[in-house]
Amino acid sequence: MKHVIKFLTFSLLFAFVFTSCSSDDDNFIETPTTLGEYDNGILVSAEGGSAQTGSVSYISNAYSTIENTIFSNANAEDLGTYVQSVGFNGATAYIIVDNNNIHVVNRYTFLKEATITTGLNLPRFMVFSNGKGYVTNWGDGFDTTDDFIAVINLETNLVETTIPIAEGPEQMVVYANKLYVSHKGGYNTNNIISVVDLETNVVSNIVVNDVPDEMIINNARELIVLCEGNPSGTGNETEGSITKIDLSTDTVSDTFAFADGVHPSLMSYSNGNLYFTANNAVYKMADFETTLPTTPIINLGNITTYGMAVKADKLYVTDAKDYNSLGDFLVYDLNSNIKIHTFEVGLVPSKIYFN
Amino acid sequence: MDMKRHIIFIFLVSITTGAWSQSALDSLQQLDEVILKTDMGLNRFSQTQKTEQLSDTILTRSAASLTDVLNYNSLIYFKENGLGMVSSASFRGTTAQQTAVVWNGININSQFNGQTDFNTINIRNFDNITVRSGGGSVLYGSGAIGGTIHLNNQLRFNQGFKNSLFLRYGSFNTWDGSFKSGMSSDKFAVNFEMSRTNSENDYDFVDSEKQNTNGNYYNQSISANVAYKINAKNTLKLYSYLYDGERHFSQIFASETPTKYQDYNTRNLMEWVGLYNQFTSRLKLAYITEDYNYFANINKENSTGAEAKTIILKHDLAFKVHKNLLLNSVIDVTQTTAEGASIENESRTITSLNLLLKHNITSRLLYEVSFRKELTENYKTPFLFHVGVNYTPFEFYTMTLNGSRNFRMPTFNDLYWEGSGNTELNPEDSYQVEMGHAFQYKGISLSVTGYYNDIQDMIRWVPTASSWKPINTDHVKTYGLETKLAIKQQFQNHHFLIEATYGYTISENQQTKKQLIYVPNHKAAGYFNYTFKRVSTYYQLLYVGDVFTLSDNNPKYTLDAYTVSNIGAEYALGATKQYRFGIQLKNLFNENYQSVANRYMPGINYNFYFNLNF
Repeated sequence: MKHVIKFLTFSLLFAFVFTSCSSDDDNFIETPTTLGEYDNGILVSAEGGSAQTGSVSYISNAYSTIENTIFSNANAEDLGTYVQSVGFNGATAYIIVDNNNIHVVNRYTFLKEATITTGLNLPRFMVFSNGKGYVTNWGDGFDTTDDFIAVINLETNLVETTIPIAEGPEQMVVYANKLYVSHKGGYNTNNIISVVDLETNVVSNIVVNDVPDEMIINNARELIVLCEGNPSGTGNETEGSITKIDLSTDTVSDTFAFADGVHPSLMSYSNGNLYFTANNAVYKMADFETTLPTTPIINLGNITTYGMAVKADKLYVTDAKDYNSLGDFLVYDLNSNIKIHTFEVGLVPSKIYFN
Repeated sequence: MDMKRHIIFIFLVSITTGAWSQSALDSLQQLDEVILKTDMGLNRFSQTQKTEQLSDTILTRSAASLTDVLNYNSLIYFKENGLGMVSSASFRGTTAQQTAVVWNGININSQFNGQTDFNTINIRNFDNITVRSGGGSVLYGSGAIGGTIHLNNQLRFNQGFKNSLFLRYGSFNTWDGSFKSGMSSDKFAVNFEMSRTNSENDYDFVDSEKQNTNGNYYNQSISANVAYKINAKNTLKLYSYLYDGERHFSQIFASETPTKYQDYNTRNLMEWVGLYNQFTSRLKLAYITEDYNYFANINKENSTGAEAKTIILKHDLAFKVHKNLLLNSVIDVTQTTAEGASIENESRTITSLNLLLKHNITSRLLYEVSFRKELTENYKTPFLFHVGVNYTPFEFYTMTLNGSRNFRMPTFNDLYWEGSGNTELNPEDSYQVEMGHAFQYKGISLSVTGYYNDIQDMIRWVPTASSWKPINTDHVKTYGLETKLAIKQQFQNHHFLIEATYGYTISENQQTKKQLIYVPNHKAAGYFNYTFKRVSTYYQLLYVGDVFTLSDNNPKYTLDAYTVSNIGAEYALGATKQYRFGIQLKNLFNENYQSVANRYMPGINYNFYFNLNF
């Protein structure tokens, strides 16, 4: 009986706390001039694991404040495991989670507006074009025939159609009403960039080196693809490369191959310079350069480099440590190439976005 | 008479008087019992460390899984991914691969991941289950570092025809049934056991609107055991076991793609026991298979899995040098072949040589010394040893002391996982000491055991430039204290039994100086039973202290300590109380708890059962 009373008291208390929270939320006034508390800063998404589900952290542009788990702080619910990436469209952020959910939030307040829960199967990344969202899906990561792009109606937040596509679609870039999709290969490996004509949804392929992942479009309007190469773990190790694709002809115009055994993994672009990581070091390559750089600009030391982004004169890196501790978010000054800040963020931090 | 002759004379006298004092029938039965046992390590060489056999009553009152019975009745900590799901043990602060599960004397830990999933063993197929704490690699090989769990089938001659039926039904539509049938004469014994459990397992989470989804499971096992006494000197035995189970892995979020997992294991053991004067020879041939299949999407046909087949040929020769001195040699050859989604057809052969000695210096003082050396091309094998003493200076007090070197070999996954396996791995290496004190006075017993275990070269998968690879990296020290108090009292028809056990465990990574994740500092269990004539009531208590879930021991990411209580009542019918009916309330106080982060366990739940022996 005592426990029943205890239980009831607790339930009442809980109810009280939650109703007061939600009434606070109801009273939250959004004015056009206040974008929200997570404006003017950096968002770091973390995949999560069994100890902590995926999460997003906010670090202010002045590096003066940090707040972890901003989604659950704003919504009193967890994102789930594993958070893959976040897509941004206007004032809305789409947080993509392995458990077949996309949480739709206001990117400045992180208050949830909707969740896309149907029609996804191991979603990876999301981009936007002509008022539609495009989400890469692996399906079963071992199955080479069930991969697709889900086309999301952004009004209804429902999957309105799907485009079947080759194994392991990963990141996407939209250019000239075409969707360029890198095929990292899911749990397998692949070596193509799919080009989807967004008028007709007709798909064609560009063959590149193995395991293409990160893509950017440089100032010269070339598509730069970072191909990691097959890791030795596949039993068929191949070379990594930086591959340039001419967007007027959709053909490979240049390939910069890495030395055997070097597998670059992260890439970012800023002010005519490409930044990429290989073996815990950061390299810089200007648009006009015709050979791969041989000396790194930053040696990241003994960390588990897991995410990287560059903006203005700062380079940001995440350290996933042993994948079982909260990770770090590191800030490097590109004038001195010296680390100037370290913040503890979520479990297995992976992606960096600028808000 | 010089001293030497004097000793010999005393021995002779004691041997002969010993022989005279027993009736012929007694000695015959004792002999049979020796012949019919098969886990020789447990029977001959486990007197210098802590062992505890779980009683039949405990087994009847437990749910069917090995997790449930050991969680409430030992200090082993379990990490269970929700009720009935994957369950791994931490014994004395060690990892899941450092507890060996032994079936009729044979180590059955998986060849793939080196551990046993304690929810894939149905306890109703075994006649006794014993927990042996501390190192046992000399006897049981790889993984016997924290301790070993023994699942044994016991055959008996001259028992006639006996049957036992058990059936339980409870919350979440859970069925748990078993049928055992045994028949034996003075030369022939056979028993047959079958069990099945299945559950919808769709329990509601406490203090939440959510429920356990996609958590249903079933498993069924059949075993048959036969002994035939060819003549006074030779006996043949056969043990056979088959397990088939399927679990849907419960989801954390309803949107997750539902998955399932199938296990199919078989175990066969043939043993020929020969008695030749002071020599007892046991020739064993065993064939063990394990097979799993994981379905990443239950709605699809495709799955990933692997299968391993192991053949063991073993010869155990015991030589009774004289009544108080036993020498034992064991030679075994184990060959395993494995094949699966990520393992090409791989095979390994391990030969091991053991030499064991037990000497009863007096009836109150004995020591054991044993060695093992393995020969294989797959890894550098350590020279293993075990030394122990058991001393009873007073009727009421026994002291045990032992030290040993134990190991855990790299598994097939560690060695051969396509693209990631590391064939350069060394085994994990453990040196340990243990000291135990046991007091016994009338119906009261108290034991206090302290241990210290230094484990080096622990294998961990770490990310490298191109893939995850296992390497020998961690150095962990575990140490702790275990106590158990048991009080058994009787006033006329009132029988009381109180048991309380508590373990304090430190398990520290020596590089980081942090406690291993999912190892609680404190675990305690309590049991109270009251029997009056045909009625019994009992209360079970489990306390598990908080655990860290992140390796940096971040205090924000811990699982809270929990206390779970169960109560039950039983009524016995029949002339020898051979029919029992029981009812149980589990998690009486509706504790909201998890043993793995985000894997909620059920609140209050009910079941009833009966056990008929005829």
